[in-house]
Amino acid sequence: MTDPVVLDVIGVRVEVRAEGYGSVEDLYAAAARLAVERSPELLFHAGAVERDGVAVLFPGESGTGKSTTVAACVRRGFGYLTDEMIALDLGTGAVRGWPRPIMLTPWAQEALGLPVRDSGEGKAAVSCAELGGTTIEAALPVAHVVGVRRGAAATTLGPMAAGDLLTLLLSSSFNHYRHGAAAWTAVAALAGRVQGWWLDAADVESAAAAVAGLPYSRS
Amino acid sequence: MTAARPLSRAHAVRELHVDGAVTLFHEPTQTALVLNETASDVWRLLDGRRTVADIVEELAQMYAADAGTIRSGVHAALRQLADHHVIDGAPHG
Repeated sequence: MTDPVVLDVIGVRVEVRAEGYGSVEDLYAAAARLAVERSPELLFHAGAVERDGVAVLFPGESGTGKSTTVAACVRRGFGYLTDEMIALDLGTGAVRGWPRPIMLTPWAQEALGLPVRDSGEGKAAVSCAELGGTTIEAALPVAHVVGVRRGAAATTLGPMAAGDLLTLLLSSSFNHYRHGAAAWTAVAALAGRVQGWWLDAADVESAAAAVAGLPYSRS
Repeated sequence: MTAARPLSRAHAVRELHVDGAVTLFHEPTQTALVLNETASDVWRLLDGRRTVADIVEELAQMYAADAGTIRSGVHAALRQLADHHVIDGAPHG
């Protein structure tokens, strides 16, 4: 039996044994589950990038295009927080990311112009450095929350109604049950502070360009 | 619950407003809700004095809409609110 892989998942130390999993993606998924069970923080299923000291969140289920959008933004010069999970500080409202390698499907690798790694495992782990980006581990205020919808004929970015923003954030929380009303209050406060957007994406580059066109300033 | 009985909000429900959207938190079940426009309208009118008929009438006037159309929306919203225990009982019909 090999030594366990030790990972720091937003402050939670987890150990997983590589031979127990069929792919790198499965291993990271197992680490994420352990972190959700153990973390004292409020965790969300979201990608996140940074510009000018503020964070942009991409909450959503697997398969909605979080990792691909994050990777395209990193290639455009955004800082990298995570393609999978963020922690929201209940007191300050700042977020930190889990900066694991970005998990990209062969389709996403091709769409991003990367050499496609056919590992036979589905997704490949691409480092932030391979995309020319910088990892951000500091806690950041959130400026924008973007819901990504794939398959549009043309890329558009439009305002998200407050009800949709609340629903997207609440439904993306991994462990709100542990924090009860404090989690609900924190999500409502976050929704009141940020701008919510629907990104209907036709392709990854125009989607990242649309995100880059948002206003960024740290208030 | 009947159309003639006043409706009120259940106890142990917290309410927050975010840019016009209403979100509720039911403490006993630790459940968060985000209300749509119809449910938000109904929720605002649940004051312990108005009945279902009163609510339908007020919303029909507010939206200058047919009472029959409004009634079905109000009943659906009340059923969903009752399902999440933020009001008592459920409307019939």
